[in-house]
Amino acid sequence: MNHNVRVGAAIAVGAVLGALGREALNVMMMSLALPGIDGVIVANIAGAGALGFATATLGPTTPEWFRQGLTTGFLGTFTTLSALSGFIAFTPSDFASELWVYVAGSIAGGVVVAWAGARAGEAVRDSRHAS
Amino acid sequence: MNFVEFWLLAPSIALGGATGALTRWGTFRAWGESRAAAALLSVNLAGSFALGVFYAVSPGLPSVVVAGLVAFTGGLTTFSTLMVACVRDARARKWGRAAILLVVHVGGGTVCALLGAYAVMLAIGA
Repeated sequence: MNHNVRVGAAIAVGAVLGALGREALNVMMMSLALPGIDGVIVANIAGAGALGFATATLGPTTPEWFRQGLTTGFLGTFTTLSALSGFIAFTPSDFASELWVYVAGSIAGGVVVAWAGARAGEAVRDSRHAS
Repeated sequence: MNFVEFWLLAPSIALGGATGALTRWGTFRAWGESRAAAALLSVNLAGSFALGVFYAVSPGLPSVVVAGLVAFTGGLTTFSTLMVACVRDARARKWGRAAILLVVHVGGGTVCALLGAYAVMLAIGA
């Protein structure tokens, strides 16, 4: 199979799983009805951590179709910026304080968890090299 | 949306998500590795604009179409890549660059979403 076709197919499969996974998480979180937490914030923070980990651990020996399918396809689609932009743009001003907590939580959580994911990934990579 | 609606809309969500992700991949390939930051900004802003357009037209559309269009914007834009790029800058002690990245993507995305909805209202004369 042509290299680009294989990578594109892997990205498409990963994206299908990522899109369905985020939406299923959203439905599940709505049924739990936790205040201030929905599927988008959970997916964004968890996905940021997973991408930090994957970026640090997936080396040049990893097949490109697998790396792209996981990172560009699955994790890229599991997380979303447009939903966050839409929340900020279209949430009624009555909910401004809740909105800013949500946005700050998304960004701070995303940065901290992505950082932790990268550190954990580097530790795994270094231990692999040491052994 | 409940789980029954989720399964009914799943093919549309899957198609929209895959199309968005492949468009994002194509955009990164077109910009090239040296301009990945510009590629990331363009997909995040374009996807946010598209979300604003879909938000404005969605009341007149069937839910299966809306689910696919929203999934497309979700697949086109990405939060995780933005966070990893910020962490990379922060770890290199480029704090200002990391902060600017966040403001430009989140603030710019919000402005683009509003512009998308406004463009539809202008187009239909509302």
